[in-house]
Amino acid sequence: MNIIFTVNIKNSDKPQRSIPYDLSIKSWKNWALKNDCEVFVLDKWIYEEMNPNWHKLLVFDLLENNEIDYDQILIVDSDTIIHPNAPNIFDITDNKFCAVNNEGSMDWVMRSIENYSKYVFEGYMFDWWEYFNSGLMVVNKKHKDLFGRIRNFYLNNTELLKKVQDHFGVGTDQPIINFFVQKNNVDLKLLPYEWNMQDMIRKEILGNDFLFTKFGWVYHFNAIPDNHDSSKTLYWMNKTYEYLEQVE
Amino acid sequence: MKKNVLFWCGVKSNDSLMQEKHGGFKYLDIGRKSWEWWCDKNDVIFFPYEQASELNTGKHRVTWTRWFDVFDQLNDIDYNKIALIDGSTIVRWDTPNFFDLTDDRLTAFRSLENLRWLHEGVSGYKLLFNDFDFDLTKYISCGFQIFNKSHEKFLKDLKQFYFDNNDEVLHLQNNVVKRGTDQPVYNYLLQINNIDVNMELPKPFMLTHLQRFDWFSHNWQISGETTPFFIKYGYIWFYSGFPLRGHRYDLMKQTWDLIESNYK
Repeated sequence: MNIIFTVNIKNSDKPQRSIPYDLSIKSWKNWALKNDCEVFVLDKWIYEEMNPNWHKLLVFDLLENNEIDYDQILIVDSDTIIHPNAPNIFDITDNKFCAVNNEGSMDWVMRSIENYSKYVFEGYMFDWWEYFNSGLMVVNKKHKDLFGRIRNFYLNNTELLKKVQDHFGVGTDQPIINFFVQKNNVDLKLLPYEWNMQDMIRKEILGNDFLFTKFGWVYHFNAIPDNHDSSKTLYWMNKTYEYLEQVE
Repeated sequence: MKKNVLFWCGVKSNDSLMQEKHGGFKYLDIGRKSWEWWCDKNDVIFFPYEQASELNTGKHRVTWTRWFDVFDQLNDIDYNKIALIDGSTIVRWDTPNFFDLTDDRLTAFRSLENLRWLHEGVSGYKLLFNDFDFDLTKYISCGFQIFNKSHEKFLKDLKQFYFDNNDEVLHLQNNVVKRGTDQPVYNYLLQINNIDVNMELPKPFMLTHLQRFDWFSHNWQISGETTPFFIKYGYIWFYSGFPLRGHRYDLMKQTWDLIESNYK
């Protein structure tokens, strides 16, 4: 059985932020029904001091502790919506670690790589064009050890990571996962943009004509300008969900 | 062993509108210096495309005629592969020889910058191609391609199509779709003719829409680190995707002033 895993922990610091995430889960559950897989939602804190984003690293332990057998796992951020008629992503993975290039502000990406390299990974660098967005990843049992190592790294370096996170503001789990994938020579398959359509405003495709739904399969409502209270995320996820219900 | 050729598109159109739009094409002189230097360093023939076969470059845009002229103009040269590149580019001094990283397929880059523009271009020409089921994941940029003699037939077919359907193509291009010139049609014919395209050349070889993707920025969070990201992490810089073409010269000039000493 293939699994879709998502984290939907209510963050008391940002209560508004998680409101639209129920729509994400509904869309993934709908798609899962059609594609013979199951959705697993983590909605409780495991480590109180751990940002919800980091909790995706616990996926293997959680599935095994719940005695859920699995083949491949699709890990998705809860600010994504999948098109109900999207093909089965598990069929195109070649059983590799899959993700989509991070598209958007290269100022943010390059500062992320450079700052984490300098302050966390002792100057280690890798090819920036392999840097992926951790909002959608497909993994399998081969990657259990990798995730365990990242989790342990986080637990052993929590203070440092929080400091870098707070000071530079260039990502939480994403840079660390990227560095670990590269340092450990993980066989990475980059999927086309259609599977994690990020920063859609910059690419001029997010609009009331829903053109983005004709372009690809997974809509990631991130990097929306002037969206500190997440109201625009809620707006677009609501509208998109309603629109796709009609399409279906 | 036969050399490779860089077919550098540097036609300065005499058309008054084009002259105005491109600020007199001053920017071409900057990019040219970088390419001449790079070709010399890498034992590649630098071939400047400066005279289009169609004299009315206002009507028959250079973006079209480059495809029609490339093989004819290289007729007297014995070469292996051809890299055709926009003139509005600068190559970094230490850029690896990209010919070594390609095979015999047509090499190009996927275009993912302004998706609305791209989508409107494709849908705007759909009827011209009998509702052909276009695969957007294979939509490529026409600004930089590497090919060889085996692709001559494809470019001849493109030329034939352009002139056979000239009124309709130009009407769509100038009055209806208004999303680029050759690129949508080129892409359709590429897919219709099942041309095998290699899209594996790494992204630093085509850094484009520099402003849109914040490439002009630098790491202001590390003290003393002032080199712009595009210079550090890109090999070929495309000065495109700006609202005004006039900005192109200023940005290329500023770049050149910063890096000129490396080309000596």
